[in-house]
Amino acid sequence: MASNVLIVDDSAAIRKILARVLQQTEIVTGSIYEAGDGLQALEVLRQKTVALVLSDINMPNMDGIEFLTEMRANSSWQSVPVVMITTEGSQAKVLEAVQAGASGYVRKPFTADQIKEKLASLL
Amino acid sequence: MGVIESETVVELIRESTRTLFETMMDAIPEPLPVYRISTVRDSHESVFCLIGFSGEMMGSGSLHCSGACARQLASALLMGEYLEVDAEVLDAVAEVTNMIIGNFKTAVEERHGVIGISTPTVIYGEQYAARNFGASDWIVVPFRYHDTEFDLRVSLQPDKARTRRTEQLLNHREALSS
Repeated sequence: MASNVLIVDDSAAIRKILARVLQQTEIVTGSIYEAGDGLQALEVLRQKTVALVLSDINMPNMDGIEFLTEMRANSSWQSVPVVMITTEGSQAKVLEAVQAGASGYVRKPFTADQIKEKLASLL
Repeated sequence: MGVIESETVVELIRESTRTLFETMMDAIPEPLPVYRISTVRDSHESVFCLIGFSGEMMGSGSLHCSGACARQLASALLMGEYLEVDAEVLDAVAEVTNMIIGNFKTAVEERHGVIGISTPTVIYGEQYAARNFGASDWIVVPFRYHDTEFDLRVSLQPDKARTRRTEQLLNHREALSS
């Protein structure tokens, strides 16, 4: 199965940077989908099959933790790895993300290599 | 919750800025002398991006720069060339602000408790003014970046009303239990 990836971030700049990094890897062999918040991301998941989600935490409408909680509550998406990519770096926030079901955590600012390493470990 | 020292704000903003530029941009900006101000008044083409703080501490963090500097920041972050300040440039400036202020917030949280931040608001244009209402000025931390300059502005105070409410609640509970 082609490994489609969903990028969820309210910043078009970050979505563009992450999409470029993903296109540079051989790990992602499918399509790259984008969403600007958790609600849009759930809509993408209802229509497409994805192998991995990269998600911001602080977003309008539905934040990354709420989105992750919704994902984990749905049996179709329970096993899809979700990596949180965020400026939020407190231990409490990391713990909250892990408890909600995050598979990985990358702090912004990030390097392309950090993203590639995380992808390689999950796909 | 205590007041955060100006020197600490400056140190954390410079560190956060350096980390971002080392990791995702093309050059390290040079720190310039710090000053204080209570208003932003600009008659030239410029960008002002604001993020609010709430929680144990309240206030705002912002980035202010010329249109030329905004285009340079976007070019470095997105690895493209921008000849005008368009939506992509404003989005890039918002994300630069978000990463600097977000990491500053995380560092402050370690010493002063949980702080929430808003999503960024970006203002672009000429002939505008912004004012910091409340007791404190903005601490302005400027940088030289290539042949342009930008600055980060931070105002951060303990939320006294929140502290008072917490004290009242604790006193009320104590009175009930005694």
